Amino acid sequence: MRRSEEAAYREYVVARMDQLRRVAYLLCRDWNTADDLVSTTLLKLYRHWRRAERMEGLDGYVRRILLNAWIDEQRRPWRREQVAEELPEVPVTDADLAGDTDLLALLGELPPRRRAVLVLRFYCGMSVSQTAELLGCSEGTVKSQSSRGLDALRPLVSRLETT
Amino acid sequence: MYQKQFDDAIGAPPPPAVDLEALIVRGRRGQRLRVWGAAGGLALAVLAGTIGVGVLVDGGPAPAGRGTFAAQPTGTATPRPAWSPKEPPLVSAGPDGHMPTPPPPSGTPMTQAQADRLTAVLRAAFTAAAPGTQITGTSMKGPDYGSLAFMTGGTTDASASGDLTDAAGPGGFLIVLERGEDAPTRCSEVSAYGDHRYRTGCVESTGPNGESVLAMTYDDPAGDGLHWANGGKEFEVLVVRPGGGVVTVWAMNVSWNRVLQHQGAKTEFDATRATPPLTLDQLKAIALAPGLTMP
Repeated sequence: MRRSEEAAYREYVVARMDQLRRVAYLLCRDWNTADDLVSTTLLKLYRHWRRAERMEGLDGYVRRILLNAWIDEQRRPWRREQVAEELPEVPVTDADLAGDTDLLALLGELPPRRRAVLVLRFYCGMSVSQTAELLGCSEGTVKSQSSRGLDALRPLVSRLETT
Repeated sequence: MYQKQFDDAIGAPPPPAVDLEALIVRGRRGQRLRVWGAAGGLALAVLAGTIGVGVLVDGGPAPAGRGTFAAQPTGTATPRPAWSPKEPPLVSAGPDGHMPTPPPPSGTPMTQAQADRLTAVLRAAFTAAAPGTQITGTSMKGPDYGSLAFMTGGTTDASASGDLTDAAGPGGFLIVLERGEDAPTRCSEVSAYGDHRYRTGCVESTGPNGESVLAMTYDDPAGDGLHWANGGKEFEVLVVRPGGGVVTVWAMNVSWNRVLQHQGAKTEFDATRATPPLTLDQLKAIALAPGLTMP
């Protein structure tokens, strides 16, 4: 990589570091793991920087790497999450809202793919089609996952909106 | 709406444990290791006699064939120190964990008039070099940008890209103009340059006005990362003008349109044609066109 390319890479990373860490944290719910994911992502980005920097939608490309890194991380035997095809979704009660349950905890209870849809759609501000492209699924899947994910979060989100 | 609530829920993140400088060092080291790994594998293959390859030659042409990696003399070119990637100044996170704001880029942004002039020069050079090939598609940056039209606003470099189409189908083209001479001028200097993992050949020559010219070929049969397309092939010509000015042109056998369609998707995709839409000689003719320099 040339000096000018490395400078551009550094500039991009510095500008996006905070956002990348936050997205990674929302996905994995652990800051140490989030930093590991971001490191993995940025190393891969370094290898492909020369071409990636000139393309439209660089942020989307980087999120794709991050998402893949997170998926790979979950596949490791020692960190594998026990995920059912359809996790039982326990409705949020007033008692939950008054207690320890918070937005992140609810997010963490969602199946990984649904969690990823919510993070991409409602935190990263990506459209349905962009999210579908990033996740390699149909727009209908994104819509249904969004709806069901939001259903799980809505009581708490509504409460936060009124406070 | 939700973004603020998520941010509020996240709160203040702890100081990052991501060490950017260490990452860059690892990235550089990885590049070197891959180069040495590839060189070691090639040496073993030569020893085993399983494939026919040329050897690194300093002073004479190498045998033709895929896998040839030959350095040829630069003729009367003035010798200069070997190029190597420069070490940029280190930037580290402050005590509060925040990264410092990078300095703004220096230089004067290119104006629309300057971009239009460069576009005209590029298109004229392209028409002269490849009269049977059509400019099609859009820029690699997307449908809002014209094909083979230079962008405005660049301070240190400028680029133009697009698809080129002939009877074999569309393929991608990219040209980048840079100030200075921060680029390799000999094949012996390109070990960690560019997409070196896929490089299969490099040949040196000298342009009519003393330019150093490197013509490189790349193969990525499995679509691992050159363009993420199965059967990816690419030609690159790198010209460094005496006194400064770098011109790099690429032609690849995948259209930008197809790359953009698959950007971010996990599905595999194939190259849009068997070979790049321009030959190395055509790329050289374009890269050496007078007037293709950063204003």
